[in-house]
Amino acid sequence: MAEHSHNAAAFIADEARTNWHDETLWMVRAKRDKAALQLPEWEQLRQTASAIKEHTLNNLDTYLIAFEKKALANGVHIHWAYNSEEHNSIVYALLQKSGVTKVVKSKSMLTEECNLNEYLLHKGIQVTDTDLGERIVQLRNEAPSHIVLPAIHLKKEDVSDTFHQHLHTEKGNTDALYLTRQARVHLRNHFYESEAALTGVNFAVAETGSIVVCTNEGNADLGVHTAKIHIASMGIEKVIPEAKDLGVFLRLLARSATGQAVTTYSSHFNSPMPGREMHVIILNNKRTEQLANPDFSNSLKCIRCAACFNTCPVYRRSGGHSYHTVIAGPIGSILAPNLDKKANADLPFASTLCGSCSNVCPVKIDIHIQLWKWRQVLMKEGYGTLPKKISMKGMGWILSHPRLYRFAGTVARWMMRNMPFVINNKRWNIWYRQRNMPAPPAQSFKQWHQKNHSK
Amino acid sequence: MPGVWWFCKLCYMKVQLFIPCYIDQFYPKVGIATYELLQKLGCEVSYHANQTCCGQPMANAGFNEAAAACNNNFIQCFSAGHYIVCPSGSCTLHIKEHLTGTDTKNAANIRSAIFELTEFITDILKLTPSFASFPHKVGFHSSCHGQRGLGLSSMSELMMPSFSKPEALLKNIQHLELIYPARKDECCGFGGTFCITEEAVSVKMGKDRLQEHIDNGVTIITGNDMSCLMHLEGIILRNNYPLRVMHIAEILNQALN
Amino acid sequence: MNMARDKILDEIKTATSSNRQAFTYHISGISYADKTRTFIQGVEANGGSVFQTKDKTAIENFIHAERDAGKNIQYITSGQKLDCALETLYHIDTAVITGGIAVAENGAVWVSEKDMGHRLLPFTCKQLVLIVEEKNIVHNLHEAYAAINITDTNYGVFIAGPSKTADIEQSLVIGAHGPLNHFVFIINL
Repeated sequence: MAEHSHNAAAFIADEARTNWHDETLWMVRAKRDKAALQLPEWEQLRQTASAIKEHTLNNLDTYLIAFEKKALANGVHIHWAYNSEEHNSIVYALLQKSGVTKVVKSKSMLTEECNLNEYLLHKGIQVTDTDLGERIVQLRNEAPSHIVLPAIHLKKEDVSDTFHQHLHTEKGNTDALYLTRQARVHLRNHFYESEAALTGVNFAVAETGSIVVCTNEGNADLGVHTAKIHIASMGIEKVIPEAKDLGVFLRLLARSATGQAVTTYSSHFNSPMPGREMHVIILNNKRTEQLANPDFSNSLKCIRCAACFNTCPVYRRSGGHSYHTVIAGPIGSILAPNLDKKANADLPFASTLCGSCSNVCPVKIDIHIQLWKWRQVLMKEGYGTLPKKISMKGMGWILSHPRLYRFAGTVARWMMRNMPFVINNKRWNIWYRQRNMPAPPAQSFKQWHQKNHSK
Repeated sequence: MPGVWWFCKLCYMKVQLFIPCYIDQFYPKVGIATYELLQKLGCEVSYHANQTCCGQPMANAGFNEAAAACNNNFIQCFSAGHYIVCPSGSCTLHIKEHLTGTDTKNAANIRSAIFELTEFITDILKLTPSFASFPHKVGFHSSCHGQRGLGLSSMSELMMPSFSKPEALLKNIQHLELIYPARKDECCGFGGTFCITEEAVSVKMGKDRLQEHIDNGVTIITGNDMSCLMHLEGIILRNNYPLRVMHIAEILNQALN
Repeated sequence: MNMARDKILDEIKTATSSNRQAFTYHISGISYADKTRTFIQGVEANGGSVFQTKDKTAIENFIHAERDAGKNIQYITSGQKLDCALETLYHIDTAVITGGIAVAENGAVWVSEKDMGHRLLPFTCKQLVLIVEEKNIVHNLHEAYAAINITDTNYGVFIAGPSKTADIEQSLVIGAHGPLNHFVFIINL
């Protein structure tokens, strides 16, 4: 699997498209700023949300047990899955028991994490993703590139071609209204025929045993209220203490994600309709390991708004697929190494550590600090290349010996002045590919100071 | 006599100069400007010849431990107990956040005594000098570590009152027209070893930053970090953009002549 | 799977054993000089329309007009259960439902299962009409959650406008899978 830098270079090769992708996502960041500006208490809200999440994580077992107790009393079935294999097995067992072969699914990054769609497909169960963006990428056999805007990497023409191929829409008709209306008809059939509805969980309320799902399209509700079985999947970190906490999180979520004051629908599910079933699967999948690590535990505060994606200058210019992981962007780069260090060792380095992500995070995750800390962990545990290790150790050695440093500097500058062809070489000097080297001065500052001001 | 200027407050303070490695080797004029500027502002400036680097290149590459000996050397050079002033936001931030060594006491002292140049002038010297003329359209590049790490200015992401320490100094320069790019504080793409390991993204980010300055019709780009400016300058020269870079120390020093 | 449950809870206990503290907070949200006006602006910004009226006459007129135009319209009174086939629900054109608390800061209206007839109705209809009493408009979501008890009902939803999506190259389309139109009648009794 190629590293982020390689994928990013391929993405950027199409500069016009990169500019379009970058501008589009920057506009979402700008909308977020505009929405945040409307609330004088914005920073206090972030601080409160962060504190609620930290308190919850510190008492996670208590809150999960409380949630389970209330949900069970409400007639909701609770299942626990230690890893993604168990999660998928539980889903399949529930579907199989009721003879379900057609399932609709609203947006759930957790089910992507578990690769649920592919698993169920192999078992002969048809899964239709109903979020429009997710449906588009599903038809194209692609992964979503953004956790809130799954098809943000696609242009109208791409969608038009896909719909023409799969939904038999007019060839070349790229009108968003037309395409959306066609998708509406197509998906309405799926909703109507669905036997089970899978959803994610934005928030699970310990006080009441409720789960809350937020959408703009209404697709979660159309599926759940039609189908006989509702299966909601959540990570252990999705629980919050009380219903009143929803006020804090729902005020932050949509504003951070898209700049809307709130999503069109904020659905609170307490109990299933009579004669129907509601199940909640609580998944671990290595979250307890992240929780046990004081440097990285507060990455579990994440409410999946993707504000960090939209503000990240690297994400905007490389696209979600460059991160080769289910959740891309800055938050993905501090979550993914926990899941698989070897596969994701490159991700914490796909950043300039500019810190913008930490500033937009509604729950104040110190993302850029965790990116730095992951770098230390990964290099220490041997995921760096040997040349890198050697050059860093070499650099450390030279820079700790002042005379050697001065000598090395003098030699480098001499070479740049007298043998420019050695340094100005696009093949081995990566800097030089698209940038000129700085002009080599005749004397360093040290030499100037020595000459002019040394006593 | 050209360039008569006024102090708001006379100062006489001992400072130690910390000149980042890449300024020492490639942009000594920035170090010289910093040195002269601090002297003009009434400081007694000393410079320890054994200083090398803050250790950030190794640390940010994930090899913080490889910087240990470098850190010890740094502590040895800066244990005089004076303020330490550095014309770089990122180097200053790195020392503040990460400097440790066998001499833990002096390491702690250094962490609290080190300041970036413009914040030193505004917060410690508490000077707002009047400068003579610098008749240019100047674009400001907000370097990330200085801004978000040291708090040199307000940040576009946070809902907070607007302020900027570098701007507070630049706006006292007559005839200097300061213009911010459309994306006021987006990263330039240098990012330390990132500029090599993610070369494509790094350069693209730099080009995009520069385009905004070009769109604003500025002739000079300035900022607090020569690393950002070095990266932008490399792209400017390769593409023959009608721009040049000047570290804020150079502008302030020149305008104080 | 109780084994998974025990394992997960044990690992959490071990991971968090040193950090248990009580926690309270207080936050009062934004207040508006004219919360009704702000609520109306919120609904309109979301793509909906608002009518202010003294009493239910305007609503009744609206319903008659819809029926005259041949629309399949359902007016649900509070507590009424809509017991019909799914297919019927999927073909209802207009649903008129009574909403509860309305939130000025975001144009959302709380709709409880008890008032919607069937959980599907607010989603399958082409046009959703919500009736809101002006005295039920609160400033912000904190006030809303203080005013409602989300467990008073087995299902409740904040609805802030017509369904929408911008998933096709960020072009906003009003009317995605749910209702295409959204009307709020504010009654000022």
